[in-house]
Amino acid sequence: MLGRIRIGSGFITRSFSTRGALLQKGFVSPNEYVEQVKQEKIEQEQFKQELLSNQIPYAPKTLSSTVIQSEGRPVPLNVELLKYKPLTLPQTHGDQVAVINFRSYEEADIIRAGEFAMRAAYYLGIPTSHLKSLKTEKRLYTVIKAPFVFAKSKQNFHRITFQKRIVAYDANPDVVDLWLSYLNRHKLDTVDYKVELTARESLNYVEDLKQLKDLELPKAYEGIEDPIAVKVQELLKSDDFKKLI
Amino acid sequence: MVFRFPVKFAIPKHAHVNTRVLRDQHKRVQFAEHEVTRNALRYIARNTELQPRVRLEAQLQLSTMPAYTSYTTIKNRCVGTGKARSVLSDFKLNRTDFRNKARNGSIPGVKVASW
Repeated sequence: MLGRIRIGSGFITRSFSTRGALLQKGFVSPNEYVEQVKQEKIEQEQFKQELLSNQIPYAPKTLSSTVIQSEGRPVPLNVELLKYKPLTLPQTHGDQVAVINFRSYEEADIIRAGEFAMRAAYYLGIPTSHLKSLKTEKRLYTVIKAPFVFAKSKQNFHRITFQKRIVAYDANPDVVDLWLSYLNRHKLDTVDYKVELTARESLNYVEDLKQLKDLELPKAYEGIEDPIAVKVQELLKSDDFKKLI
Repeated sequence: MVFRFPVKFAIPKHAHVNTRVLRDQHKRVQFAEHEVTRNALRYIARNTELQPRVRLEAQLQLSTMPAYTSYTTIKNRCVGTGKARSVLSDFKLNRTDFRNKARNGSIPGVKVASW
């Protein structure tokens, strides 16, 4: 079974408001406010002391011994790895789980988005293919230069659409969801993401569905009847047509 | 003052508005409204299993519907200038408006080509 979701163009909308919280709080008297501020200051001081007392030992993982001159520290591993092609995990079974298609007018953006997705997949333990280039679309537009009728001098414009794809293998649906939601959170405006998810079901999937007692179909499928068919019935039952049949 | 169109409709937003654009908008709204009826009548008229009288009645009703409910009267117009000639359907823009905007860099991805 194939399901499609689109994460580039704001398909998923969420609203968040803090208005309700403010209203519930109500008004605070001046004395109470002073108390509040005091309490906050004490809490902040406690937090600061905690941070100072349990210091995390500085032991970064490094790849090379390059040292940033101004800081006197080695380059952290995650920063260093940005210079190299993203790592990929080997496939265990080779079952395709998801395909992400990227489309953009800027090739640099598409590479940035794709490599980001691959790195995220690597750290989530999802084996992926490399960033594969698909066919580049190039559309030409030739228009007359003059606003008036002189059609001899023309100007050419073009729009190039770059396309790339990543295939993900052998991951649980939960992990794939986590990966995709992370990508959705950090998506680029200039890149169009289209995801094709592959789900696997047992051979008796239909029978299992039939045996379910409290099965509720999604509301979106309610009342799907061809409006034209409904109208045809209505017309044929109307007075104009009744006398003719 | 008499209202110019047989029915009232919303003036299009986000587009250049002039008389001809409004006229076209009226046709679009009317087509959308009558699309189901037209298709139903066409289905009855073309269904050979129905009696010829019924099919003729459907054909008559279809032909007596106003012309502005027909799709063929709709014409693509430039969103920026309202012009009807040489409209690039990819951008919904007239050739001159498209050129101005493309040279200005306000159409994403479109660049001057040279080879």
